[in-house]
Amino acid sequence: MPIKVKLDRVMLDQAVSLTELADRIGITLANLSILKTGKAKAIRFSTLEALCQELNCQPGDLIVFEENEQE
Amino acid sequence: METQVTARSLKILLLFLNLSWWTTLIGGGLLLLIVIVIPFTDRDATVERSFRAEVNLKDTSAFQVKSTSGEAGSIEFKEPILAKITLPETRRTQSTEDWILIPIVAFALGISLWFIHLLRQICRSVRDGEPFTLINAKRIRLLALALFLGTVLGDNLQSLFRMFAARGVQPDGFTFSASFGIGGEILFLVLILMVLSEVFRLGARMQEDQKLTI
Repeated sequence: MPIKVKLDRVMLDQAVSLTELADRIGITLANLSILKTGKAKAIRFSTLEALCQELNCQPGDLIVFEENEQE
Repeated sequence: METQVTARSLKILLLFLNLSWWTTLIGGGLLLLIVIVIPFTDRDATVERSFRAEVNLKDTSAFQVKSTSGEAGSIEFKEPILAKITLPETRRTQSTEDWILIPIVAFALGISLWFIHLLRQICRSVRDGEPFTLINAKRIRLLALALFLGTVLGDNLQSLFRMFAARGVQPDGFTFSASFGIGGEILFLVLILMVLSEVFRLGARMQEDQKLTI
């Protein structure tokens, strides 16, 4: 899938742990881990909103479109 | 309360399926054993040979039908009738029918066990709370296949066997008949199962999407 989640990069920049972020935005650690590892198939606007609010960033910082090298 | 009722009905269903499984396995296994042993017994002995055959009644004069006013009508059998024919026979060598019976019984037993096994697996997945899975969609498709093979192939094999068993027998007043084909009702059931399988497949995908939506 050419849509990549860059949550790990933003978290690293802001030195936020997965557990801390999960607590702050109110989703489970397992779900946040799925999102971070790029296994998620979709993201709710409410989750995106909470992430942007807590990490003080734009949706574009978290999700990017990267064309596959093969294509 | 509703969940308890569902759990109870599911338990009863599973119990019934388990019972069917063991009954079919033991009963069918014993039948297969008997069928395998038959060719090796009763040699050079006069025995009664019974077989079922599809017959067409040509002479229906023995049958009478009257209207409510008492007037005589006529009767004609349009479809073949299943009859049990018993003949005295000297069994000299191992007969071909005996050998043919072995794969037929083995096939019927295998298909029956496969069918029950698939149903059990589906019921177990429902009990475990995971009914909408791709494997269940595949199981339903296989159920349709088992149903198709079991009935269509089974019925036609049975007709073939009956035809074979009736060879050399001289009928008087009737003729032997054999009906081959595919039952419309079975095709309809197979179609329903295939549609259900697709519903399960889509359900499984939707459930996975739902699970992976954060």
